[in-house]
Amino acid sequence: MSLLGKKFKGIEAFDQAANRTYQLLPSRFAALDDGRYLLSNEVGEYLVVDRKHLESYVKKQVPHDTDFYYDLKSKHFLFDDDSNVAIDLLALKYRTKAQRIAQFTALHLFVVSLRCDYSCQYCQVSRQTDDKVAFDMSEETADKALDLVFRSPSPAIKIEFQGGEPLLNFNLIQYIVKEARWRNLVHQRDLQFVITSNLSFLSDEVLSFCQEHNIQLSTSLDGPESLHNSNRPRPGKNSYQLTVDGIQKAQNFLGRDKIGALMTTTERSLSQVKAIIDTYLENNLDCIFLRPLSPYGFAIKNQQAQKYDVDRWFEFYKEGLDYILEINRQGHTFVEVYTQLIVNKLLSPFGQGYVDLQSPAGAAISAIVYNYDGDVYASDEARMLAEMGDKKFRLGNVHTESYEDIWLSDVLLDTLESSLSESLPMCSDCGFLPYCGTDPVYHYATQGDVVGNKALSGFCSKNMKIFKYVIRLLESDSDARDILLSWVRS
Amino acid sequence: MKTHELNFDVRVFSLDTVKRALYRFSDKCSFDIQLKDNDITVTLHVKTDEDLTSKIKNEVLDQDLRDTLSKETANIRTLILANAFSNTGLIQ
Amino acid sequence: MICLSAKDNHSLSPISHTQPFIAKITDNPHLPRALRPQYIFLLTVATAIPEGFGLVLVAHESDEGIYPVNTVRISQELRYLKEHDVIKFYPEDGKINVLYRKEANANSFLLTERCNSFCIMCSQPPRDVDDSYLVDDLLATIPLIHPETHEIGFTGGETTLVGDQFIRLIQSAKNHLPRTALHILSNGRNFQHLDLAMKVAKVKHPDLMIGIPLYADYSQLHDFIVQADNAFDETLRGILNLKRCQVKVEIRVVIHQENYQRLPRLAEFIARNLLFVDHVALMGLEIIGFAKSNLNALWIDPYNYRDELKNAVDIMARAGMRVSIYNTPLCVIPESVRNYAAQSISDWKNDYLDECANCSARQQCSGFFSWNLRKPSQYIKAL
Repeated sequence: MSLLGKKFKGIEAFDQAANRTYQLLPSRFAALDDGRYLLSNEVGEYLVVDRKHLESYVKKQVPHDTDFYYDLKSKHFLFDDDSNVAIDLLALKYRTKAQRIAQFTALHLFVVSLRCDYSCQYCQVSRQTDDKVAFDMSEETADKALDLVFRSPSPAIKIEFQGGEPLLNFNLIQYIVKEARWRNLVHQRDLQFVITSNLSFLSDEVLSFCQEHNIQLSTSLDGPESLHNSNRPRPGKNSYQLTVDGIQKAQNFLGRDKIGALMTTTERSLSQVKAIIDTYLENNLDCIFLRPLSPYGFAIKNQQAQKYDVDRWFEFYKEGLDYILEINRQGHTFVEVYTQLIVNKLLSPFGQGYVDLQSPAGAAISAIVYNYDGDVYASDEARMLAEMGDKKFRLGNVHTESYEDIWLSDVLLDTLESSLSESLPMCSDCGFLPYCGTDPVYHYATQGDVVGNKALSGFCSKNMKIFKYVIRLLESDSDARDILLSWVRS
Repeated sequence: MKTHELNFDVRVFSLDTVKRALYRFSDKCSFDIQLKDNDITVTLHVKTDEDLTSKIKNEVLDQDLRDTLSKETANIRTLILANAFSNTGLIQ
Repeated sequence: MICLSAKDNHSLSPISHTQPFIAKITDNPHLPRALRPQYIFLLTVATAIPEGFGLVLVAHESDEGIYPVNTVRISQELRYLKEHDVIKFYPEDGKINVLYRKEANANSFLLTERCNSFCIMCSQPPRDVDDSYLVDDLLATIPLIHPETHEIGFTGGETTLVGDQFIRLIQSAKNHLPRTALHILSNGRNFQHLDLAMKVAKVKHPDLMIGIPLYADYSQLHDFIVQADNAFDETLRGILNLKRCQVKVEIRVVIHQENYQRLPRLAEFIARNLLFVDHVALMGLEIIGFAKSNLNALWIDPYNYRDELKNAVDIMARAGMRVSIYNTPLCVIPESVRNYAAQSISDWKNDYLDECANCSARQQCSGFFSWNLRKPSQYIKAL
């Protein structure tokens, strides 16, 4: 019985869909845990539903005038005769999600030297040598690479210096930064620089230069001293001490927000996640990236070993994330970067944001690598693969190929096209597709083709485990949910 | 290595649906598939002792739902994408 | 509450006006004679009345004896009038309507009482009348408004129903008040026609925002609340068109019993589908008009939807949107989102309860609509 005045009609009078079936809008689903599924639409909006509800949705049997029906309608999983603006809105949302692809290559990695004072067990590329001519990038190469950098239409350009140890060719870094800023007076992009360094050579001169040009530093901190030193040996056996001293020096000189650290996970790391996190806390670092075990080694592991590795790493990740959530509960903000990325992807209307987890793949169209010798690679992993003997994803050389030769090369376009997740078995109907990505180089390296069989893929297994874990936290643990949502950057 | 047999009626579940479901288990088993009259016979060779038959049957049910979803929404998906890439003049 | 209209004004001399007279008030007795007929002279103390003004308003009780033509003693209720204010004087019955006050925190102009919706909580119930005089009056008023005025508003009814005059009014505001923000309320439905949105954009008003209500995340509920079929679709298309033409848009959500439960879902809908709008206002109910007559169906104590409110604010703020809470006292808003509350109620209809006298947050709080005082939340308490 309506409590409204006589002039007003009840809601039934405004429902043109009351006794008609609804129509389905494009959607996908994936199993989440016992009996629950993630249902996602074409642009990544989602609902967690049990199987009964999922089935009634697909079979068009959801009763009208229920909260579930209206949730499905409002989130564009269905449409009915009462409204047809859903198509316009979905089209707009799809366009928004895809828009970042058009912005194109934003991340440009310059491998300024292969020389390094370390001999890390997991590194494929560095050379312990003093031969600068053989393994340093030249100014001529840098100039050609910069030509290509500014051909990218991206409004934001990030130049990241890699190696070996980039500071061993600090002169060239200075040259590139100044030359890039000079050219940028014309191009007017949002230009940023990062140096990834082991910090052995972090002199006052380097720090002043970083401050002057607002350069970020990124270093490797694998964990407590014994772990770090065993992962990352150098003459003098003091890599941990050098690293933390360098971090502190950079924090004091440049500011805490100007230096970050990454860890590389090895077998030895797997049992020490809390100690690793404690090391980060002790060194005033605000975030950690619990990176997976790399499949690139001096021998690529077989598929079974791949997935076993993922299972073991996932226990490491869960333990780490639980510990980090507890730290946050105690009032200290400390972020796990990969989780933050995933939460952002789950909630953001914008696409991309992380070159290693996007479709179309980030290879060349989001990030590109200019090697010391001018060779251009679709990604850092492509460069590592070349170091191991397979140059499949070498796209050309800055001295001999043009921008068009490189970005329109057959190998690149074929790779991007054939690895698009919407076209792949298991991916094309997977509920996590809007948040996931495609990794042609990884699948080529581990299975021999850029698509691979996802049932055998460590990439798929890892991502699915993380999606399921994070979504379950968001759905069922309100404390964890609040913390994770506070990590979201808008 | 254990062997199990599963049967599906092709009038209830299409061959495609069954194949797609089986594909997801290719890390754990290999299959022989035969179609005779209306009967799809799947012979599973499972690498471990795990009993996958109920999981596979459930996956076939899920794939069947996916099949319905994709068939029913194919046209409207094309419409949405065409609309998305026409010139709407509005970029967020 | 401030009274904006009064009839008990007594003429102290013969009135020569035969038509209603709209003019600006001055307290300058030395205004050049050539200008005086266009102005209204306001006298607050008993001094000599200069000659030649279009109207003289006497705001004191002393008796002078002899008054120039067109002198009127104004009602006690209008004694707040000041220099720069604009009024409309009706010679047939001496009524004065206050059209604009320079010191008001908001100046809103009614364009028409006609409307193509029939919202169940409408605070200005529609009347199907020929009120085109409202637009004529406004066109006459705009040039008289003080150019330093911060912001003016157009309301209704449905403002776009005044046809071509809608564009003319925006143009006039741009011409005469280039430094004044213009906030227009509309249900957005007529902007489903792209050419109307384009016409608005073409004026290139320097600071224009259209405030458009959206009450639900799905059509059936929104259409029911506004009592019009297809309103949801039309409104959304209108919003999209306005943003295509780069006109600023604000989404306004009035919260009541019929839609509070879905408020978080509406916030999600706005954050995903309307991310590009310039502002979102979540508004407490104004208990007047239909909101008053339908109160049994609509009333919910704001304290009882505080969780939904907080949730909705968090969802949209996290998405990077500009969000405000209007017309809701601070004490019933969850603490973590109190900073989104704004002083939103026009001064003439703004009041506080006795409890508020001791509240440390009174200065920042929006308080109540004057007509809500009879039915405030049960959880009001001084902070």
